[in-house]
Amino acid sequence: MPDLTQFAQVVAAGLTSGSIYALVALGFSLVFAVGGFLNLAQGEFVIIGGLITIALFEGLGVPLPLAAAAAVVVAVVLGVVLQQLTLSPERQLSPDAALIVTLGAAFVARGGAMIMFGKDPQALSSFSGERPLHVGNVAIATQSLWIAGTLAVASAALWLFFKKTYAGKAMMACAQSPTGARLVGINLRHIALLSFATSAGLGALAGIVVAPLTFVSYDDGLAIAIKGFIAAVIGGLGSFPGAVAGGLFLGLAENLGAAFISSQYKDALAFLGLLLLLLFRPGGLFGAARR
Amino acid sequence: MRTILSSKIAAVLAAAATAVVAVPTAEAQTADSYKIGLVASITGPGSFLGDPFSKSAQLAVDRANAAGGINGKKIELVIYDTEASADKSLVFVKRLISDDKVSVILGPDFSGTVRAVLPTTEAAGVPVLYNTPVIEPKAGSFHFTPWPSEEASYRVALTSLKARGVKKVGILATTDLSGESGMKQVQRLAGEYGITVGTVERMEMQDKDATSQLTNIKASSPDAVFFVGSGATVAVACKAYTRLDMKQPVIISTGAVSANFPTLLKGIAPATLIFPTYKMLLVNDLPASDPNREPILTFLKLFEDKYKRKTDFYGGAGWDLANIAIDAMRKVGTDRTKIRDAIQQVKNYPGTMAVLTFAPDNHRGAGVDAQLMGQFKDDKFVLIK
Amino acid sequence: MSGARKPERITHVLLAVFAAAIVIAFAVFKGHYLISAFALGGIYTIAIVGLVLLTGLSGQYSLGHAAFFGVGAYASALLVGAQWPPLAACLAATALSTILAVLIGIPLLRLRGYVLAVATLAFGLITFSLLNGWRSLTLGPSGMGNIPPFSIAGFTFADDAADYWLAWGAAFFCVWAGANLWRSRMGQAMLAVKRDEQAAAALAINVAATKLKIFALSAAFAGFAGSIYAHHVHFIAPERFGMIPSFELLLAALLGGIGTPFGAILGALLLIALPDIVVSLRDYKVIAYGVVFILVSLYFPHGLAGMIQDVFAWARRARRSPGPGTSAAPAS
Repeated sequence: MPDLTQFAQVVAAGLTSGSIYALVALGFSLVFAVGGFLNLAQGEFVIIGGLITIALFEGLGVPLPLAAAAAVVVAVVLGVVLQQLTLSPERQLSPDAALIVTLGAAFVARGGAMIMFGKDPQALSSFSGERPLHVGNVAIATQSLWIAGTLAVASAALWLFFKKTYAGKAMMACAQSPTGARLVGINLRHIALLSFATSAGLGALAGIVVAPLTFVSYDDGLAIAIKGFIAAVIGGLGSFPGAVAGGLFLGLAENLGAAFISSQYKDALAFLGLLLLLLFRPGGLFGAARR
Repeated sequence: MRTILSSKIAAVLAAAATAVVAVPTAEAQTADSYKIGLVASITGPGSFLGDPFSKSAQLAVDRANAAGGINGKKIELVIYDTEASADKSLVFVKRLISDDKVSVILGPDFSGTVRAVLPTTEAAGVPVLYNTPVIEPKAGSFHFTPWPSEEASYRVALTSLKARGVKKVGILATTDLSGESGMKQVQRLAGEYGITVGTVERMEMQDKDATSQLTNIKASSPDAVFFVGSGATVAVACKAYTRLDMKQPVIISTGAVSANFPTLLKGIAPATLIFPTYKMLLVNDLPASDPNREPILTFLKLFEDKYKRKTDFYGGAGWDLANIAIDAMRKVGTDRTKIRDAIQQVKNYPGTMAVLTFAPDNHRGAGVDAQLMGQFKDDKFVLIK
Repeated sequence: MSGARKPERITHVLLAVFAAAIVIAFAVFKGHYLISAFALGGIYTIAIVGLVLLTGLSGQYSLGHAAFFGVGAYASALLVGAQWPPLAACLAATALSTILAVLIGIPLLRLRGYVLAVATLAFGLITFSLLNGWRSLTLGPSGMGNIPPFSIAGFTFADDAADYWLAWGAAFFCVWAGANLWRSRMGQAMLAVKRDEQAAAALAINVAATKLKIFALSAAFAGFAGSIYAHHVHFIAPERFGMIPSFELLLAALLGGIGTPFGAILGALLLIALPDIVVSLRDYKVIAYGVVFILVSLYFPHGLAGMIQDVFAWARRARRSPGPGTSAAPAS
């Protein structure tokens, strides 16, 4: 019978990885809601965020906040370049084609990262030191709090953005009906660009806060993207509360399954849970799929 | 109608003809050219193995060419990246054999890729020097490995645990082949050393956290924990281990400890972290009389000068195997069977991995004495005396 | 498409060209290592035809198709290990894949779009975990070796040349079957389902049964291909049937073109050729892969097969309108 401490410890681990999945899923849902396609390069923004921060902070001694900001800027710029060159709405790419374009971009990013940063995994020091926080007998890495905090702040910022700013409301309008949005004079091209740039920034942020916990390797991107995609679908593709819920669900399912059922089959168990969930709620937890 | 049809057919055939012409044609192998083939996972999931392996082999070939090659002729190293795929390995090995017409092949590395190509290379009579300990080479065959057997390295590990008074060990093993076969070795052999195996947990190679698994191991209170796997996965496990404030000594399987371990574990290494390893990682602690000391230092300097980074025994394997292949060709020329026979005659070769000896009935270059126990202390690898 | 006769003639021509290409390629490359690469290409063509049918005809995306490929491979290997003749093992393996697809298709095909895609991904990963973890059956990650070559009625396909003919003969049959299906009433029904499920249901097409049939068929192709694969490479391991191989198959289908079963041939050849072509780029080849994917999907949105179709349509239009002032009859 697992004791309460172990259970709490496992839940903490699940919420930590779940928060990362949630941040990635937010980026997915943002791009999907506005553009109607999946961005498989989302994981590469995460990697770029981590690798550039490490290169600047660990490699060149640039202060951490500056290094992180630079990494986010680079990721956003790359995202903008990608979107403008290949994914803007007037190209009218089918979702299939857009998917492969983003996959191609992911390969380009991965290849570039391999050449620029090498093939070895890279480490980033924890922001607040390596000694964990103890809540009762449960050890929480301080970095986990940074991750949870980033998710909370990002979620709040997105919520405010959608509810209170013109650009945000315009984005929601595009998500609901592109034709309708155009009819009321919303510039679809600008909104599409903004959504892509924002998701790139979110991805990079995720990469920076998770790097101290997990190391960053040039080829992690695709796996992260897939996890984020699965999380977004669990929550309801295109739904932002769904992305958060889906990410946390996935993280918890993986860890609880690993600890208390079988670590050999933990992935299979998490996916079985996912299948059962989808069969009973085909729209995902929040069922707000677009189109 | 007929003209439209024929124009379509003509267009397709023209495209096909262009494709045919664009395909590289086989080069004739002259008696003058010395060609070594190399297949390894240079990109993709196995790049920590294949990248240093191929770079070191290239270094060895370049050095031999700079010193005049073989009888004044250049040696050519033909490198193909298998991306750890059995299919790609098979096609590239066939290309090396029939197209590039190499005399000897270095690699592959992942055991799946090795098993996929061995039937072909054996049938074609091409000597193969592969880069993994897991596959048992057959006596009298065309394939060789420099690595001591897995069993040897686990025996060294278990001996060390027994000497520390460990009676119960917990295992965290990756689900891939290295984790699986290592876990089986420990389970099979532990009893001989008076050790029982307690909780066994698994993790995927690409997992980024092992907290959940370690809570189970922690709950079973073993005297030591064995991390079995490769690559950075073990470093990820060490992180969770330290966070959970586990106090038992951690022992790691050989293949998992790589050159960039110190970077990954800075500040978070378990207090006692030991592992069976090869002389390369412990070169600073080797006595001057050790036959491998000089070769290791020479190789490390050359590698670090050229590539500006550290390397480990995966690089050392590439260097040793390339040099052995070059020496064999220097002795007997390009005939594949003669090269195999020459490799079988290699005795007490002071490589960077170990002192390598082959024989017609022993195609494993090193034995248990190539394995030493090391410890990670103060961000460095040190020899446990 | 204008009229039923025209597509039929084109299909026959394409099949003839396909057959001719198989024969010519063998004659040109006999003894070359490329015969082995082409044999693999033929095997992948079979699996990818299934995906082209699934995605092109009924608009469903399978992100876990390598699982069916793996089930076919392992079933065939295990059965010949139990002394079954390879042909019987192959048929049984194909049947097993099909049955598995029906079993999981019944619950899963109620899902749509991206949700279905994730469900197939989950199924693929679960199957991979089982292939890897069920050591007593599959020998786990070390894989199964010493798989004997394929044989039919005493004739053994003992070398790459024989496997080439086996693989491409089977591929030809599968492409032909796929083309027939595409033009048949069932194929047209599936296209209708893809375009608009509700309208199709209104036309009294049994949407659920149609989707299940095509899913099962695509799994059958994959299982069949897996069996031939096992007997060609003589060694199989679970890592060959996981998530990345599934993605490679789907990518090959999309790049080859899901508008026609012939796209599967191009996709399979691309899958085989690409690593070989870019080998001299060393580490830069990862970037090269990405650039190829981007260019193909931007400029050939219907895949390579679509590109070829466009070339012919352009040629046909050029023939039909020999000069200015002539109004050309609309091409198909």
